[in-house]
Formats: sequence, structure tokens, C-alpha cells
Amino acid sequence: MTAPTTARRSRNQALRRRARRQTTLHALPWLAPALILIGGVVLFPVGYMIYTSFRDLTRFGTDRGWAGWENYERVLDLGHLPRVLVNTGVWVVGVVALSIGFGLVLAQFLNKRFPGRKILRMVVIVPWAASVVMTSTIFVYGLDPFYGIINKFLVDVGILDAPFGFLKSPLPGFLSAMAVAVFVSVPFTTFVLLAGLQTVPHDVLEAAQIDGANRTQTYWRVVFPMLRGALAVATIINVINVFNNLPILKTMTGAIPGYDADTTTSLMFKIIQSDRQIDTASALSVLNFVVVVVVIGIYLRVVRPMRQED
Amino acid sequence: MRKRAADLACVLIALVVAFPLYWMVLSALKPAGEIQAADPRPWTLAPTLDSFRRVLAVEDFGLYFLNSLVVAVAVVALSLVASFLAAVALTRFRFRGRTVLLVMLLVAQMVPVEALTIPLFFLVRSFGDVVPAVGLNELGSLVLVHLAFSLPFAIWMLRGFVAAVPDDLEEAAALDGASRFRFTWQVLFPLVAPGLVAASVVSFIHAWNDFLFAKTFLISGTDNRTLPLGLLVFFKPEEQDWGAIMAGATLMTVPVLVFFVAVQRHLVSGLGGAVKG
Repeated sequence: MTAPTTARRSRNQALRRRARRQTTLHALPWLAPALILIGGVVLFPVGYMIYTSFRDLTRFGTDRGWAGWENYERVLDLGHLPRVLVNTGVWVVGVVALSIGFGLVLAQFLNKRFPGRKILRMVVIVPWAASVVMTSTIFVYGLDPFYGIINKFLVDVGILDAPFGFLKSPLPGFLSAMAVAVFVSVPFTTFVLLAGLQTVPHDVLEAAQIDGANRTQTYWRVVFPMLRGALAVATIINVINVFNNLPILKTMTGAIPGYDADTTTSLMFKIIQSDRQIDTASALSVLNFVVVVVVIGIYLRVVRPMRQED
Repeated sequence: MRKRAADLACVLIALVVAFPLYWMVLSALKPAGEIQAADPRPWTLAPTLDSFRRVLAVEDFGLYFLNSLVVAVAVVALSLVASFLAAVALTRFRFRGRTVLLVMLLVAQMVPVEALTIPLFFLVRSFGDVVPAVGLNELGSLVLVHLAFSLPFAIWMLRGFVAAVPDDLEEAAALDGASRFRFTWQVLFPLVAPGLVAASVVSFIHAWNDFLFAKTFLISGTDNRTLPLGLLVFFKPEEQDWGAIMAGATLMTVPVLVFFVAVQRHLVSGLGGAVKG
């Protein structure tokens, strides 16, 4: 009795395997353009970066052979590394948390019907559409202690006694850059969360109301859990973008001497630009990349935001 | 009372968000004497187009603008086709290695772009030896690189849309004698349109606003400069021409805003595809 069943099962499996192999072949032409482009232009350079991080390169790019872990050791020996790591942590966690916080509030607000909603939605998009370099430049201009409007406003309102050189010293410069990073991240975050809010069905909200839930309860017990997917997308994309962001720090605090206002990404840029150590910079970039992958891997494991589809 | 508070919040948010944009346009319109005045005022009584004239007087400004437009439009068009095809394959076909591919897309999304400029420079230089149109100093190099970097997010976003189209629809189409190809272009493609809009917005912004790749690949050919590179003339180490920078920034931001406003209605539903994951 068992023998034929086993035979049939294995034959079924073989058939299924063949069918699957066929669909792999069928899927290939559809996937080919994207795969070739991503493989050749995105992942291949990553491989090259990893390779470079184990080579010994001169300032002019001449390859002097295998370097082992030397470049990595040089990165870990940098005296300012601890400070830069703390900065990076504050930068990523601070900017992402604040962007999500503001985004949640703003999305909730934009999801209501009120006059002017359309216009407000368009206005909120602006920082997303504008170039980050340009936005940072506008803030550099606005924060200038002599002719900056933001400085003047803060003095007029009474928050400051005298104009303050926000971008002249590390801590205020870094915090100003964080503010700009939040400013440019909020629109995308808001729109992703808004998209999430619109997947919450009306009858669910009505049911909660009938059951006697107040607004706060409805939000935290009903709406918020349904935003899981949107929150995951917003968090992941923001962590990646914020971690790898260079233009804001380069434009706003790039002129401050030393490394007290640097994250690992801007440090990497300084190692290429001023020290011309491409090999060391590659090692730092690899470490950066690994950190991002691990952080997001942990996030996906712990929070499990993506429902299993198959 | 609650309504009043909401109105107030609405105005406040709009003010904070729109202020830099307002300041940019205003500074572009201010006469030279007011731009670095010790007492900046949030209005001007003597608006002038001098700063715009200085920007437009830059040789070939029109050409730079056109170059940027060509790159951005090419990236959007090619990215739509490639990501749509990949999204269909990843949702409609069952095959081994699908999960691996999805993880690969996510990893490709995490790549530190700024760190890759050096390998990309070498890569583009070698491409140029084989296909001159995508080599250094060519607009094709920008199209190629932006296209590749736009794909992971676009595919990720479209996947949700393609998955939402029921399989029954495809079976019905097959029964009616429609080929898979015909079904894909005449049924699936229009249904996925909001996702395509959102994906194209994201890739357009990246290509249009890019300084980094343009600065890396366009090293000597001035004819092929893009708009951001053209505007760099006004950034001088000590004395920046703020009026011209703001006028240039205004000219650069306007086309994106027009594009955004045109597709804004579809944007929220478009991002829904990514959210459904």
C-alpha cells in the first residue's frame, strides 16, 4: 500500500520540480533587465568596494597588493572613531524617530477632511521634491549670524539674546543638521504612513466606536497596529537614507574643523577627500554597509513587519 | 474649539514647511543690497529679476536644463519598464530563488551610494570603452547608473500592486484567448498605474536633483553638464552669490513641483503598494 503511494509522490515531486524549472526559465526574460542592471551597476561595485578594502592602495590609486585586515585595523584605530560612532547612533536614531513621530501626527491630520487639505498636502511635499543640497544651502543661508532670517527670528522672538553662529561649532552644527535631516525626511514618511492609514477600513473604526472605544483607544488599539506595514517601510527606508546621508552634513558642517560633527558616512568622505586613503575609506564603507544590513536584519526579525505571503 | 485648533495647526505646519521655499523664492527676487543686509526682512519692496538674469546668463543654461530633463525622463521611462517586468515575474511566477531575489533587492537598496563613487567611476570608464554612449562625460552614464539604483525601490513598490490583481483575472483573460503578453500590457499595466506614478516620482527626483554622480562622471565635457553642475559656478568658497544660488534653486525646483502637483493624487495610493509589501 505504501510503496505505490511513495512512488507516485516522488513522481509528482519530479513533475513539480520540472514545472518549477520551466517557470524559472519563463521568469528569466522578465527579470533579466532589472537583474543585469542591479547586478552590474549596484552589486558589482559593492564587490569591488569589498575587494578594495583588503588591498593596499597608494594615494594615487596604485595597487600595492594584499593588505589583509590592515585597513580595517586602521579604521578601528582612529582616535576620533568613538565620538563619530556615538554621533552616528544619535543621528540615525534621532532623525528616524523624530521623522516617524512627526510623520504619524501629520499623516493623521492629513487623513481628515478639512478645507485646504489638498493645498496642505501639496505644501508638505515640497521638501521632498526639492534637492537636499539646495535645501541644506537655504538653511545655511538662513542660519547665518549676520544676515540669516532664522537667527533674526529667534532673536526677535526672544529665544536668543544675540545672533548665534549655529554652524560654527560642532554640537550646534550637528543638531542643526539633524533638524534639516528631519525636515527633508518627514514628507516621504508622512506619505507612506498616509498610504497606510488609507488601508484601515471604515467599518473597523465604526465597530470600535460602537464598542465604546474613545479616540485614543481607537488609535492605539485599532489604527496603530494596522499601520505595521507602513511603519516598517518608513522605518527601513529612512534608516537606510539617513545612515547613508552625506549632502546635509557636507553642506552644513563640512567646514567645521575636526571630526566632532561627523557620522561614519561623512568621515568616510573626509578620508577620501582630504587623506586620499581609498583603501581605508572602503574598509569604513564596508563596515557601514554591514551595520545597516545587520540593523535592518534585526529589525525584520524582531518586529516581523512583513507578513508571510506564501 | 477643536476645529479652530485644527485650523491653527494646519496653518502652522504649512508655514514651517513652506518657509524655506518662500525664503528661496524671495531671496531670488531681492535686490543685491538686501540679500546680505544685516537686518533681513521677510518681504521685499523692490523685487527684481537681476539674480535670475545672472543665472540665465550662464552660458548654455538652457542646454544644462535640457540635459537634466533628458536624463530624468529617460531614467523614469526605462525604470518603469524594467521594474514592472521584474515585479510581474516576482509575483506572478513561482520559482526557486524568489526569496533570495527579494532579499537581494532589499540589500541593493541599502548600498551606501556615496561610498560607491570610486568603483562606479572605474566601471563607467570601462563601459565607455565598449559602448561610448554610456562612458565618462556622456549623459548615458548618468541614465545607466540612476536607472540601476532606482530599480530596487520601484520593484518593491510595484510588487504590492501586481500582487493585488487577482489570479482569476488572468485565468479569465487566458480563457478569452489573450496571450500572457497581451494580458500584461492591456490589463495588468493599467491596473498598476498608481504604483508606476509613485515609482516614477521617486526616480525622477533622484535623477533630477543629483549632484554626486554628475560630479563624478561628467569631468570634462561641458556640453553634457546637468543643471546642478551648472549651478555650482555660484558656490564660491568665501563669497557666495546667494541671489544667484537662490534663483538657480528656484529654477531647479519648479519643474519637480509641477511634476509632483500633476501626479499628487496618485501618490498616496501609489505608496500603498509598498506598504502592503
